[in-house]
Amino acid sequence: MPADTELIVQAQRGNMNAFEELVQRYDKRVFTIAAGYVRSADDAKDIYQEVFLRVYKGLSKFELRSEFSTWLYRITTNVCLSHRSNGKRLAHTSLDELSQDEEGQPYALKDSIAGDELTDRHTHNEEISERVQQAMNKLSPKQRMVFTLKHYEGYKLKEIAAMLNCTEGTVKKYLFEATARMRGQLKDLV
Amino acid sequence: MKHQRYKEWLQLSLYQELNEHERSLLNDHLDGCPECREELNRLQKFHAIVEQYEPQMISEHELANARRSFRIRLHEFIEHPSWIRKVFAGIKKIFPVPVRFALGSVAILAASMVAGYVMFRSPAEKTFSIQPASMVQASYSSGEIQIANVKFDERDEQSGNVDFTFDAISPMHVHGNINDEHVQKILARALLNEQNPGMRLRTVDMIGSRTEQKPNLMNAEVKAALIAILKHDPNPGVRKQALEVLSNYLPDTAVTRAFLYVLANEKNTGLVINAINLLDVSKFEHYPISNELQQFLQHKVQSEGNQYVKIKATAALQEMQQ
Repeated sequence: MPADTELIVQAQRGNMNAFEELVQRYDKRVFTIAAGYVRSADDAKDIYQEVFLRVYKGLSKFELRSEFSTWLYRITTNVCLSHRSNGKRLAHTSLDELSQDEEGQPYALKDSIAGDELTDRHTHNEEISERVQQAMNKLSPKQRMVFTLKHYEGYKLKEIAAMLNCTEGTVKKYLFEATARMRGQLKDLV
Repeated sequence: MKHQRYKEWLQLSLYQELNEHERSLLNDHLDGCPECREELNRLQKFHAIVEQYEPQMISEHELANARRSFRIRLHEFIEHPSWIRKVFAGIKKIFPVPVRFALGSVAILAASMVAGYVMFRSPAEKTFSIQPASMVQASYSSGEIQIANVKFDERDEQSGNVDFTFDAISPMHVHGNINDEHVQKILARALLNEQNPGMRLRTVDMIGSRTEQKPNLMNAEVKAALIAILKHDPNPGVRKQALEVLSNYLPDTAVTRAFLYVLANEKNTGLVINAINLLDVSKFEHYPISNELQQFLQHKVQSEGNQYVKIKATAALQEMQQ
């Protein structure tokens, strides 16, 4: 398997296969970060496209002195932080998704068939999940980003600092602030 | 060491972000500090609560979809450069770097002046960006902008810099014809953002007043909005209205699938009965979606608990098999 550096050099020379391989090497991680932050597959898809388009545009100026992954994740967090969701009240319902249906995209019949009766526990968990989501929505973008990357994606503080181009101390500050605000919002549960 | 520092360490310890020495200091402190032990318990409880909110899982299908969409967008970007990129490429070829800087500064200055003019001119001079179709008589006027939903993102107390977002709301008056695609699109967008169920009901009704006349000319965005309302609106009355409006579009694939979704997932029995009644299977002959519909009905006949729906599904299935 060629190293990142080799792929980057080839992609900088215009080799699209090398660029594609580079994308596929990292895109799942980018997509996961985006989806963790925006909580919507459609918005995450928009972010995915924007990130790799920026990578494509900026690759010619990328100097091999720094890690490609650090640069890529920094772009990802920047795009996430500046992203404004397309959906509002019905954020979980994508119009794009519906138009894909129209275009005859694969559609599993089982997806539309109701599952078993929800148990009380499941309902209770959903309520908690909803409350957590509401609390997260009240965080500032950077607090939410840090909390998501740390708590749900499991990145180290050092890695998050590199992604956000700030110090580890600043990341800790956002993390503590986010936790305090979340605990305040969820105080009846905690 | 300050007590507050230990409290921060408690949180970091749960994320395995303390080194050996820090962890040992914290453990010593915990032995003699009931307040911190209590805080650790509360933090662990908080983590347990937050963990119930599971991360968004990305399926291979979604990833493949994203890759495909990106390839298309990249191809468009490469093959069809925007006029701005063409202008920049031209400038790059013609002018040396210092001249380019000077041109850039002039461009920024001009853009700032335009932005300042647009932002600070009087409301009476405002224009509206949505243009009606040329063949349709529609007019728009807008009132004064109100600022709402202000959200503070960042604040630097030392420098006084702040970042915040807000919604700029301007009341608009639209005069137009319900058959105008632009009017329909405005209504569709309003439908997805309106909080008042009564208004959503009226909006669906208004959209439907046109579709009954020309069902084949429905804009895709409007149709998608109606489907979203049918599937997810919390108010059953609004969902019912959307169902009736959409029934004019059967056997359209997306609409049919929305009907199947209702039949499979809707908790309101009245709506399910409405859906099965409106699903006229005679319309589906020679349509590719008919196989899917037939499979669905077979499943429904086997698993449906409601006798009426079961009978209707059986009858529909028999009609399709004839």
